[in-house]
Amino acid sequence: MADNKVTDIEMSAILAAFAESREIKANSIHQSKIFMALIIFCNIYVSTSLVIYYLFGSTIHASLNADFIAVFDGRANVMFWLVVSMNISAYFNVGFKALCLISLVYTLNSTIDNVVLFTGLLDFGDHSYFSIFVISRPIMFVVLAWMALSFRDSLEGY
Amino acid sequence: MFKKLHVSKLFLISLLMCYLYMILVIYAIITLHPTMFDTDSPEKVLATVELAYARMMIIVGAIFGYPIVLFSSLKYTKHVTIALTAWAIAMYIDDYLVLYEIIEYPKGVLVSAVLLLRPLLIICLIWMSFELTYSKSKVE
Repeated sequence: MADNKVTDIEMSAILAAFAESREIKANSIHQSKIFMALIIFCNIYVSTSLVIYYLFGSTIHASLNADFIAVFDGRANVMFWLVVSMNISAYFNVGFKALCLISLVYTLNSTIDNVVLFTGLLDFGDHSYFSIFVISRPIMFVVLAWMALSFRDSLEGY
Repeated sequence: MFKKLHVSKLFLISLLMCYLYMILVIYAIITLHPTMFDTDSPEKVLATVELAYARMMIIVGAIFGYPIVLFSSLKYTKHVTIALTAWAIAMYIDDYLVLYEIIEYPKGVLVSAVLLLRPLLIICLIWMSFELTYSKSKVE
């Protein structure tokens, strides 16, 4: 009984044996209800804005130079792929916080660009369904930041 | 002073290159002149100049704000560096995939140099982000 100390090799073998079960546990981290509500809101917000853009975008296109339309199309595509990436990374728990930060920065950058580019060129008062998304953009910033902060990516706190 | 930061020499070199690039960009924007644009569309020139000045404001904020964050906390420096990297990449992608029809780059050696060196800035920022993310013992 005096010589029952576990060596480093034995310890490594024990840890390796339990590595698989830890991985399964790490994949089943339960997110808070707030986080779930935020990610559902984010998905609904982006999907609704994309659907409205593709349904009614032609009215905006009619009042704009053709070159400027590419901006709206490009932004819609980028936002769609960002949300898809965020959902996948949240499901597999890989780099979700970094993706949230990237989405937040991208949304901020595109908002600043849109304000600079379209002020004076486009009257959103004539397109009320779009102005809802323009006005509610700060809510999206808060949601993205809150999602990154409330996401549980480790077993700490359990 | 920099030894207290516990960052590598490569990080400091990247930081220096980013600062030199940002100063070059500010100088290029300040010295913009309408005769440098070779286009018939005043809308495009206006959009380019307005975008350049809006971005310059953010660059000026980063130039003065980054040292404050760097000497206060490496943990927050990591987040700020990742955010700035994401912003630089977002602008790069935006300019070449979304805004390419609107932006009319002015002619000139300085502007060409700024555009040519842009990937270098992104590489430096990515390096800084990786170093701050993966040297956890120092950051945390």
